[in-house]
Parts: sequence; structure tokens; C-alpha cells
Amino acid sequence: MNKYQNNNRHFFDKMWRFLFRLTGGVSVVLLVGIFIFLAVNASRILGSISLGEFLFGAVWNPTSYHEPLWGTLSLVYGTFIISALALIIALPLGLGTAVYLSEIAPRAVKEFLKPMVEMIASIPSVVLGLIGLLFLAPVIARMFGLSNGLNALTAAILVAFTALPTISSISEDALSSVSPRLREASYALGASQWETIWRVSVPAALSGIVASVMLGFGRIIGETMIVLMVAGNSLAWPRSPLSPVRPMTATIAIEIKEVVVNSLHWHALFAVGLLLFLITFLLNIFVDFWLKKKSI
Amino acid sequence: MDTVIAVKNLNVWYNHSVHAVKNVSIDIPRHTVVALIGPSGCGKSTFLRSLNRLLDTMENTNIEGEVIFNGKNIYHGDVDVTALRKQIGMVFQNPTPFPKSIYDNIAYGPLVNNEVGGYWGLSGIIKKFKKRKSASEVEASKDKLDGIVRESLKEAALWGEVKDRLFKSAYGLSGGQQQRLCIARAIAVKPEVILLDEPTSDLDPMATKKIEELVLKLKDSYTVIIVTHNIQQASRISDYVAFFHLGELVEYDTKKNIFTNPRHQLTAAYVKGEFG
Amino acid sequence: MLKKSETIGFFCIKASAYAGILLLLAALALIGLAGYRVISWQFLTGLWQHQDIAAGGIWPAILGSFYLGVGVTLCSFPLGIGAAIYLTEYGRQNFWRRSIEVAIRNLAGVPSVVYGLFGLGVFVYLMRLGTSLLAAVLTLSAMTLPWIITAAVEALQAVPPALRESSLALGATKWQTIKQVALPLVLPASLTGGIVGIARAMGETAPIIMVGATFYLTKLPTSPLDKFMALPYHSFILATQHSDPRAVEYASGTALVLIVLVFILSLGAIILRYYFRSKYKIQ
Repeated sequence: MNKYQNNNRHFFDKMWRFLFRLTGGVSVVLLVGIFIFLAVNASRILGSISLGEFLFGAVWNPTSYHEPLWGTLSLVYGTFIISALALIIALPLGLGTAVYLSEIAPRAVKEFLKPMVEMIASIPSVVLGLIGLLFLAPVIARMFGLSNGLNALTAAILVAFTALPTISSISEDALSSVSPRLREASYALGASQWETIWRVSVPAALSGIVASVMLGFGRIIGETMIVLMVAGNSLAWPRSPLSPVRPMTATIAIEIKEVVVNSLHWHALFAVGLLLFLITFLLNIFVDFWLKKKSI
Repeated sequence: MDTVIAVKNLNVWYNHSVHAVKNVSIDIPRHTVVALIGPSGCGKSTFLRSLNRLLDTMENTNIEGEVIFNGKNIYHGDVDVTALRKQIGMVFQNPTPFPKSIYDNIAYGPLVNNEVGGYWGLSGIIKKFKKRKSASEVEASKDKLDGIVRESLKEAALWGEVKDRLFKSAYGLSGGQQQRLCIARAIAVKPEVILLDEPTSDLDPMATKKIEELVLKLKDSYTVIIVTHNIQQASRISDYVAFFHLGELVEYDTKKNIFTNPRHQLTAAYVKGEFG
Repeated sequence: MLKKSETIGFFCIKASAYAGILLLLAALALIGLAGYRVISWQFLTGLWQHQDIAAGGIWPAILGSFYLGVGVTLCSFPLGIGAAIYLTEYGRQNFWRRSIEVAIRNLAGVPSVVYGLFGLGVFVYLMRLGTSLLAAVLTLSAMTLPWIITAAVEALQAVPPALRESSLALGATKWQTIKQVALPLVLPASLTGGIVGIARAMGETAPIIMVGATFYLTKLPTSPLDKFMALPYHSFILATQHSDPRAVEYASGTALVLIVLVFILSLGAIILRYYFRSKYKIQ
């Protein structure tokens, strides 16, 4: 090897190192920048709106003629109602699917069903919203005698579908990684398959299952299009799952187009966005630590 | 000789092509320790799993022949498999404690076999919380489940070491203790036969010794069939030895005969350590 | 010899597994039924006419979504893979690197509206790009980056250190090691992860509502700074805000085209994954 080849190699090495540093840096800056940007814009409300009113005020009415109100509690409550309902629906369906795929289904069926469940995850939420508008809302309206079916329940049913693949595939991964010896030990003691599933496999995979539920919950909280289309968009405090509702995500999407740039309303919406960001981000980080702790 | 299990012409295939167990016939005498020896991959573990129908849980296995347990062929159509498995227990190579407390590990067998009632549902959960007793309370308790846990742990020579941490996770025990826990768990349902699949291959010599002592004690109340890679272990604890090679039962005799005067040349070569 | 309660239990489990899938397939079929009548060559290739929605077509929306997809691929792939390589190969194993990795992995869970807000503030206003194709591409790329980075980082970390050490021990430089050893193992995972991310990005509506999608376009976008139409947004507006009674049918038709597109991509990703898995299993 002559000395020219040597120099070339090291030059390329240095060049690529620089390039990778650059791309790495840009990505990191971008992603950290989201938080900073939101925080900076959100903080601009601090002069005019008290933190107490923002977080705990019950009414959100920025365009009110008399006195604009900035309470996000009804928005948070709206997000909460839809999310809780959706989770109640998605959890048994998702867990049932996971148990079926990992413990019961024959291999051929599993190879076919598993990708199908993943495909559910790729359905655009606007399509789910359309399904809601066209088919689910009228059914709900007829079932409960309402004028239209645009309410929290309708939205929750559809939103559950966005979380179902998450819960199902992560739980299934967790169940599949339980050592088969554990199951065999249970059978060897005379337990049936049903008993083994619920008394041995599921408890052994519990940390993964819980993580899947939390991640699914994060996905549910952040859903925008479905709620925009079928949740009803009312700012009134929801009285029941059959009330129309407007969660945080829909509020941002609807109002941001009508708002004057850099006005107080504009910054307030960024504050709502920051709230949303913090909730989901912290939820995800918590799941990360939870999983890491349990993996020993 | 009182036979507890009589195997007649047993054949097992994997995936329709691999003939893992070839026409094996063997009589297991009651209250003895029978060691199954032979090089790895020769069908010993498969054979063992066919004795408590654990092979049923593996896909693509074909079984022909009979396994007569207490006068009845266990592969007959109307045999209750879960009840059978209660009578023929099994302990595996890697210790497999359930992710539960030590107490709950032992209690699992009796619970799923409905030997103790009242532990399902809400009343079960309440009882579970009330159950955190101290060692002396469990020692003196007249409750049936407490009694089972206590006696099983004592029989497995583990009571002294774990009595003060009965309600802590089983994963806190050492490998050897976990394995003895698995044995205690298996005897908690009072089987007639205990199958051991290389129970000490993952353990250090001290733990191995403890388990071998345990096996010798267990022979009084149970019949033990143990698969082992360790020829010295077989010579230490067994009464009868069966030598398997490539799925066939080559020779089956008393320990003395197998080690000092084997009939087959293959057997002689194996016990001398010439292969395996 | 199952207990009766167990039989019921198993039935419930099986039912729940199939219920979700079947319900969804049924719903999609219904959308198909609702919208298939509007699908025609003209619908797919014509320009949009506001006055009479039956006369025009959704070609601008298809083109717009296509531009978005290509743009997001071009932006996020190099940046994402580069960042993943930087993080795993060059970064020091310290607190900062680990927290960055955690942060990136968890940014994938942040709602798309939040990315929309970010894109609005930074790309549309701060960088003066206005509501445009470029702003939307950048916003959606930001959204896709965490996916690609996480998939690539996982793949890189799965490379056995012995492989890398063997290369370095033979005198290769770091870059050569990466090129010959790590990259071939990383690309499959990043590819599949990336395709999934892009399928997601093309199906997203909320962020593009905020940064550049429009319904009222008379000509096709010619520069990245133009406004553009996109399939999900188009369907959304037709379904919720259009006054023509046939609008819902056209919304379904548009949705149908979008679903087909997204499914083709997802299917492609799944097939790719199987292909790579079988290719590397022999190793």
C-alpha cells in the first residue's frame, strides 16, 4: 500500500465523519427545536393569561365578544372522555387479538392475520373519520335517538381502531417472548391451556402489555382527524359520552386557521399544543423507563 | 416388580420425517430411580415428554404405540390429559419458576387442579392479601393450602431456606434453589411419577449435590425418571439405567450391570466415555 | 375435555381477534361501495372544477400527495440514516447520547397536530416559506424522522460488535467499516421503517391543513413554494364542508384512491420485510 492510498482513505473517513455529524446535528436540533419553539411561543401568553386560568379554567372561548376565556379544562376533559372510552374499547380487543395470535392461532393463520392487523395501522385517520360520518354516526343516532351521531362515543369507537394495532402487536411481541418452558411447566402440573394463558403467560408478559396500553393511549390522545369529523365540535362541557365534544387536538386544528398571527389567541393555541406535547412526550418517556426497569 | 409405567412399542416422529423415538419398550418399576442416558439428540427428552403427553403441545408430532400407566393406555381417546399430568409431574432443565411469589408457585398446582377451593374470583383476591403470614403462622396453620405448601417445601429440603420469604418473588432465589422450588412445586400435587429432564445441567456442583440427595429421598414416595447427560450422576443416584442411542433403546438393566457388565458394545463404549 | 367456561372464553378471544379486522374490512368495503361510482379515467386525471364537481378530477390531489411522498423521502431518509449512524457509530456513550436517543424515540409518539403547529411557526412564518409544498414537505419530514432514526438505530445496534471489530482489526477505517459491514444490515430495516413512515405521512391531514394544503387550486403546483392539493385534505373538505349533495360520494371516491395508495405502500413494506428476513436468515 503506497502512501497516496493511505491518505485517500483517511480523507474519506474524515469527510464522512463530518457529514454524519452534520446530518446528526440537524436532526437533533430539529427535534429538540420543536419543544423549544413551542415553549417560547406558548410562554408569550404569560403576560396576559394566568397559568391558573389556563390550566384550570373551565371555559374556552377566545372569540367571545365580552371577555375572552382561556380555560383549557373543558378541552382536556374532552380529550380525556374520548381517550378513556377508546381505551376501554381498544384494550380488550387488542389484548384478545394478541392472545389469540400468540397462544392459540395455528401458524398459518397467524402469518396471515398479523400483517392484516398491521395494515389497520396504516389506514389514514381521515378515512376512519369518513367511515364514521357515513356509517357509524347515523347508526349511533338511531340507536340512542339523537339528532345526529356526532359525539364522543362515535369518535371513541373509531379512535379505538387506531390504537388496536399498537396494543395488539406490542402485546403479542411480549407474549411471544415468554419462555416456552414456563408454559410447559404449567401444563406439566395439569393446568389447561386457558389457565396457563391467564395465570402464567399473561402475568409473565405483563410489563410489555402495560407498555403497549400506554403507547396506545398516547396514540389515542393525539388523534385529530377523527375527532374533527365526528366528535361534534361543541365547546360546552360534555355531560355524557353522547355529548358532542371538542378535544385539544381538534381545537388547535380548527382555530389556528382563523387566528391572527402572533395574536394572544395564536400564542394560546401554541400553549395548548405545548400541553399536548408534554402529555404525550412524558407518557412515552415513562413507558421507556418502565420497560427498561422491567427488562431485567 | 411392581410396574408403574409400561411403555410398549413407542414411536415418535417430528414433522412426518424425523423418527425421534424408535420402537421403545420399557417397564418402569415403582419407587425406583430410572436414569435415561445417551448422547445428546438421541431422543431421551422426546421420550420423556411422551410419558406425560406433553408432546401434545408441540406441532407436527406423530405418536404410535402405548404407554400404560396404572393399567390404562394414556393415549387412549377418553383420557383426561390435565388429570394425567397431575399424576405424572415434570421438572425441566432450566429452572422455570413462575413470575409469582414462592408461596404462589407451590400453590399453583393445587389451585388449578381444584384441590383447594375458593381461590378464584373476588374472594380469591381477598384471601390472597390476607395470606401474607409469617413463617411461624404458616408452620402452625391448619389451612389446607398452607399445609400443602409447607409440606412440599419441607420434602424438597427448601423450607428452612425460604420460610422467611415465602411471599417474595421466586426470582430472588439462586438457580439451585429455584430448581428445588420447581421440584417442590411438582410434588405439591402428589404425583405418582416425577420426570426430571436434565435438572442439574445448569447448576453448580454444590446445588447439583443437593438435588441428587433430594432425588434419593424422593424415591420413597414417588417413582423418578431422570434424563441425564452426566454418567457419574446416573451411577450415583439411579437404580436402573436405560441407554438410548439415535432414538433406540439399546440396553436397559440395573445400574450395576450397565456400568460393570454391559451386554452391548455401544453401551460399554458410552459409559467409558468414549463418545457422547 | 375443556370446561364449559373455557370454551366460551376461547370463543370470546377468537371473536375479538377477528372482530376488529372484519369490522374494518367491512367498513372499507362500504367506503368502496359509496365511492366507486365516481372513479373514472377523468376522475383520476382531470383537473379539479369547483363549479361542478362531477366534471373535474382529482389529479392535482394525486400529484400533490405524490410530490409530498417524494419530498419527504428525499428529506428524511438521508437525514434520518445519517443521524442514526452518527448516534450509534460516532457518538460517545454518555448521558447526552442516551437522552437524545430516548428523546428521538419518543418524539414518534407526539401528535401530528403538534408537528403542524411547529411547521406553521417555523417553516411557514419564521423561515418565510409561506403555506407551500416545501413547508409541508419539511413538516412531514420532521414527523417521519423519528421513525426512520429509531428503525435505523435499532438495526445498527443489532449488528454484533464482533463484526465491526473484525473489520477494524483488519485495518479498515471507520467509514469503510460502516459502509461494508453496518450499512448492508441497516438498509433493510430503515427501508421498511421508512416506507411505513411515508405511508403514514401521506395519509396525514392535520399537519397539512395547517401548512399549505388547499382546496381551491386552479393550476398544478409548479414550484415548491406553491400551494398544493392533497388527497386526504381533499377528501376531508368534500366530506365536511362542501355543499353539493354529491360531495360525499366524491369524498368516498377520493378516500378510496388514498386507501389504495397507502395499502400498496404498506403491502410493499411488508413484502420487503419478508424478503430481507429470508435473505439474511441464512447468515
